[in-house]
Amino acid sequence: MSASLVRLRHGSVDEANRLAGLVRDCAASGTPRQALLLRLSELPEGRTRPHHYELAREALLPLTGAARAQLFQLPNQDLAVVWRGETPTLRRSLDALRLLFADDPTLPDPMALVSVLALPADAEPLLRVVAASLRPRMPPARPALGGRKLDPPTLLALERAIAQADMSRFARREPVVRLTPEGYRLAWERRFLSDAELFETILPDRTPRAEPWLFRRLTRTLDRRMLALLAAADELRGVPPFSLDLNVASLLGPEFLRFDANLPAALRGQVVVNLHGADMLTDLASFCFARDFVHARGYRLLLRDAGPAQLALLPPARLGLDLVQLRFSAALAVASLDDAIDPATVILAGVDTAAALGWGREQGIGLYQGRLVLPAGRNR
Amino acid sequence: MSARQGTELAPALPPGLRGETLGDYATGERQLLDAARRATTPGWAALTVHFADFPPPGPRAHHGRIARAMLEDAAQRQGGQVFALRNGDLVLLCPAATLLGAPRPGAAAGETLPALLARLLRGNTPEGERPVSVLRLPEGRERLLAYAAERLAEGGLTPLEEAVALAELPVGLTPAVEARLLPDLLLRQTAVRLGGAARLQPIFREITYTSAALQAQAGEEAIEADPFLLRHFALRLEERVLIALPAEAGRRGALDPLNGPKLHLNLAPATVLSPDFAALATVCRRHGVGFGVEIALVDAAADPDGYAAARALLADAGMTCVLDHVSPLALLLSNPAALAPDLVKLDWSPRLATPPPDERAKLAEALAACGSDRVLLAGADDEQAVHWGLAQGVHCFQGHHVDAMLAASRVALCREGAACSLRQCAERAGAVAQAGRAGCRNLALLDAGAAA
Repeated sequence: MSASLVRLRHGSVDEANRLAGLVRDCAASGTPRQALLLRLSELPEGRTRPHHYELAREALLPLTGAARAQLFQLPNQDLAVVWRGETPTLRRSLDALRLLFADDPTLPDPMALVSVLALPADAEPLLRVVAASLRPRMPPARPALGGRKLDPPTLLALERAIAQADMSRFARREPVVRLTPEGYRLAWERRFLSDAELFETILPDRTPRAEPWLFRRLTRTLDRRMLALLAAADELRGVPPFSLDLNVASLLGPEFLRFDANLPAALRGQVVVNLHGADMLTDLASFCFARDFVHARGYRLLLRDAGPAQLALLPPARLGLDLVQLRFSAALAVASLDDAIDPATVILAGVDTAAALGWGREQGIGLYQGRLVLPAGRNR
Repeated sequence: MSARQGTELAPALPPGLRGETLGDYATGERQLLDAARRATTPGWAALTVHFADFPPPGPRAHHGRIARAMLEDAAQRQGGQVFALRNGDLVLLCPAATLLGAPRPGAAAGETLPALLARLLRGNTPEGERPVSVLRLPEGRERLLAYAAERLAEGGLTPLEEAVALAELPVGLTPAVEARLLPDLLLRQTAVRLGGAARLQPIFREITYTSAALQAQAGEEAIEADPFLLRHFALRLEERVLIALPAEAGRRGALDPLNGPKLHLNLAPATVLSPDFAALATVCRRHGVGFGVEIALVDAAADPDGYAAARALLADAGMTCVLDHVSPLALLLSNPAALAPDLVKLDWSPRLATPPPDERAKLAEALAACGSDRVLLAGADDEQAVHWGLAQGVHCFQGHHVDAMLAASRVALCREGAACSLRQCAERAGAVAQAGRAGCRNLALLDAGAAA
């Protein structure tokens, strides 16, 4: 994704409402208009690449030169252009749209996503499309956890393997960006070990996450290895601020004390610790102790992977947490941030669609994680 | 004489102690005594962390580890020494100025090292006693000398360097649990509603296990050290009960869902959504009996979507959903009411009766948010718990005190009661294994919980 893409204008509820208003006006007054609708939301989720959205907008650009033309980007990434009268630019736009997915033959024919409508006759179907764009997609069904579950003997073997394996190949960084007038700027990097890749490599026939408490136990081993990686000489020299996924028990362990003792002065106060809600609740007395200890050392604490239900159950302010990572979902799309939550303390994660970003911006959220938001100048 | 009597600090001046480090903590008392004898220069202070004063079971491993790291950090940066004593106490000798400033860059402004340690360790010492104290030197030198001499005279074992490895898994546990079901690992406990005239009304019988029983089965201490493992094994155990339960229907045993007040099982949300639960629900529906599920707060937090689905399923089936294992701290720090259970099971703790002043209003507010009529006080093992609950408007109780009250009501009315003690009756009512129920000659009354 190029840096310019993060400046792409994203769809919003406002635009959907403006389009709906225009269509209703046409219907009420009988004003004739033409409309082209490109239903990108019909594509299988996760199959398109960000440049497809940019190409789609470029394909529609000729049409925006037509009389009284307006381009609308809806929250679900559908695009619509409404204009007056006949125009030769329609043919140019349609020709460009035919080549939209030329780089990926597994995607459907783009013309199947295109409709050319005439207002006011087609007002109703267009209004239905606009209304649908405001509804979140249904959440995906719970993924079936295939493969055999983890059992204690396998867990023991896995822990021993992890203790000896070279974990640096599984170390990953993921940017958390801050929305600024100039674009997205790196706020910090989440540094973590990719457990999915690790398990795929050393235990491909098991699904450790299918046993949630054994998996949580396993994350403590991963915590230790992550902290050990960061203890390597020069690992933290000159690096940007970062966050770590850790368990409460790991914050109180000797490895974290060593990490803290070696933390460069420039990073003191710049490190965020991402905590899991169930882990905190497992031993709240230890959590309170760890919270006050790491706060005293200048760390900030984040509640990770929260959805609306978890946010209601675990109010971050009551727990003394500094930040909360909200994962965008269909449930979140129809909610709004409670007044008790300061948007400045929220990181919206899973920002892979314009609908997610649009929701976050409407809520006043300034920090984001996801495929759609990368800091300026960074390619993925 | 205690080192905790002095609190004032003198200006910093480094005597000959600066920069020394101690490699051998086995002689901490002797070295503290030597250092105290030499502490004649003004401007130094002794900070003591009184771990020995922590009531049983004593400080947790991380208390000592973190406190020691903080003291050693201060000693290294400012000059000073840390002494680890055999009774668990830690002493830092350092320039008094070290104790006046922030313990570390980035720390909360204005909070000194003693204040931070006191805050971290609050609630662990008996009321009125502070977990840390500061002695100004040389004014407090005699007190420090006496304290060090007392510790030296006490004797005791050298503090061991802690093992840092993760506890090994009890790999033999799973086969053992699966091979021997279970009745002797299980307990049954009746919950009651105390009516207006203090009438005992049994409301359900919970089938549960004790952690001690689970650990004894494992034969390992590792589970205690790892709450995640404990949770995993406990849920597997309850699933085994769930699978066994339909076959118990009508057999008049301790696990008969048709016999006595409705049964409650402790299940994870995913298990409530499983075919095994559907099979049990079918049996209950066919016989027109109720059933309840207790979902631990941690399991609900670990799987919020699963909890919501399980909650809806239970509501549709007319079954009770209890949010279990809500500690007083969880009541303060989380919002159990957001999960909309039928009952919130609050774990009794004496902390509830005598909360710190800053927690009193918050506790009342949290209790009101749940609705006191939807709260069950669990672990009501003594009269104080029941009194506290009733004063808060709570009417549902479970615990050994309730067990005794139920046993008393049974023995008083049982035609065979003359042959039994209260304790025997209570123990038989709590047993699931047949051997534990042997001796009772009125099982119908035993399983009913209380005399009608």
